[in-house]
Amino acid sequence: MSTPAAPSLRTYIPNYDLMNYGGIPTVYHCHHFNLFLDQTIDDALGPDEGTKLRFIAAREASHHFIRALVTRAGALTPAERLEVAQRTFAGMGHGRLQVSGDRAGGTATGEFLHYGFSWAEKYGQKVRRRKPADAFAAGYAAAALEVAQSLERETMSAEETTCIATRAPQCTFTLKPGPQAKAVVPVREPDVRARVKPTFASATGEDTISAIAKGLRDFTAPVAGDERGLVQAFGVYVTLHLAGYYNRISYDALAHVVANKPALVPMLEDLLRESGHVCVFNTFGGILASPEWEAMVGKHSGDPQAIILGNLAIARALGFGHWTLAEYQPNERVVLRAPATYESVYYLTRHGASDRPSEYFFQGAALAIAQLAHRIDWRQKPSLTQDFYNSLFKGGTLPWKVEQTSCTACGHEYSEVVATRVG
Amino acid sequence: MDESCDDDDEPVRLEARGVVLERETGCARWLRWSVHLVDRSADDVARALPEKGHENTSRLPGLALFVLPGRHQLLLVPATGRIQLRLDIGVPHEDRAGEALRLGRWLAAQLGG
Repeated sequence: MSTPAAPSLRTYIPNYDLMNYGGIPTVYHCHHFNLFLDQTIDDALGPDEGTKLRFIAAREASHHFIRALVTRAGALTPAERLEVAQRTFAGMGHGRLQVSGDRAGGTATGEFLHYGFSWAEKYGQKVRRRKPADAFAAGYAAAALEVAQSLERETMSAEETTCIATRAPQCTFTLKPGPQAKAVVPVREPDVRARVKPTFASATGEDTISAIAKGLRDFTAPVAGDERGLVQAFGVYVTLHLAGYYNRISYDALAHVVANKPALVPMLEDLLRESGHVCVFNTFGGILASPEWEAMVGKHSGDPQAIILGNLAIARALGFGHWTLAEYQPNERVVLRAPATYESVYYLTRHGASDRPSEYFFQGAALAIAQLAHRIDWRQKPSLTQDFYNSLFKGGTLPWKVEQTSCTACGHEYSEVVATRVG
Repeated sequence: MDESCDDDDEPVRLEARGVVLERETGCARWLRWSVHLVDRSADDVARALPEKGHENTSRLPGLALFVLPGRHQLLLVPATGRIQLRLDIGVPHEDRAGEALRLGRWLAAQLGG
């Protein structure tokens, strides 16, 4: 049996820049985005229902993922299968997870688990958290035991009983059988390939975007978790994560709010867009400000278009999709277009055609890209501080607005978001 | 809750025998430091560290990367003169400034300072 090293199974669908790992859709995201999105779900549903949804989504996505990995690895025994699951988890930057048990249940322990560890790092000195943070690890552990024991998918439950985010010394989980979850349509690479629209090149700067994206991919290809299961690239701590997890928690939470608290729908949609702001400001910004970027691309010129093209390259390298610049009027209008995004292919596969544009992350990212290009002088090596974030994205009317004018999840030929200067 | 990397935005500057460290706000608190050398260049560092037995592990042309004991990293872009020190995230918050200063002194020693 062979255990895959983290980057070896990473592939991109050519000309679509949608990333897969072992044939399951994946993307890179940093802890700022991960913590923000999880918090958004808990804010929308309440901490108990939010945790439950995050666990269910993690377990579902992880079951397909781990099953694909152990099949590829030829892992037959429960011990071999758990080894594959655990090593992959660490290689993806999620920390170290040790799962043990049998068909009647078991336990798991975690060290440096991404959510708990990064929550403690970011907030632990100023906020006391009462609830555990690692619903994703809980779902992954449950799925690992299901696959190891050849159980039906989504029949194992898991609860995080202690968490370092609540100042416990270690993260621990109990696993026990539970009722099988309602079947949902799986979202795997072939499903994605079946739903993408014809692709196209960027109207502006395609050669630049492609070259930088390739450089970023080549650079990150061998990057994997260290012995603690932490991944650092460009000075940013990142995870290789299951796109199905992000998508399910976002769209299921939205469906719940639509059904139960319709007045809050605009607020949740704004928060889902804000996850795009958080990602672009912290991760894209961190990459742009890094010495690696300076060595790979050069010093910043002060040209906003160069920042936009660089951001599109970053998006492609992170597996978000073949984001292109369809139109650009300096300081007035930025139009991004893609033949598919990791949001749209999921939505189409899982839910069918949408009755309205629903790529919230793409929307928020486009607004943030416009802001990063026009409101930050990267030559001055800006500090990506909380105050700076607030000055760009909070506190009244922003000088840029965004509108999604076309969406492949609605059946349109491409997805398009338009950021327009308003002030 | 705050959504950016740092909530502590005040500039922090440390000095150690010709090595000046300025805290950058980064992905996590107090981990990234800009390094400025009083009378040496990034090129000097990139040449001096291998002579002292430290391996440049960078896979990027134009970038030198030295992994220091404790998983800390020193990155240099000789073409632009930029030097960045990255502390490992496992260093407790309260020890990060002290660790950065210790590494600044270590770098000064490597340069004969």
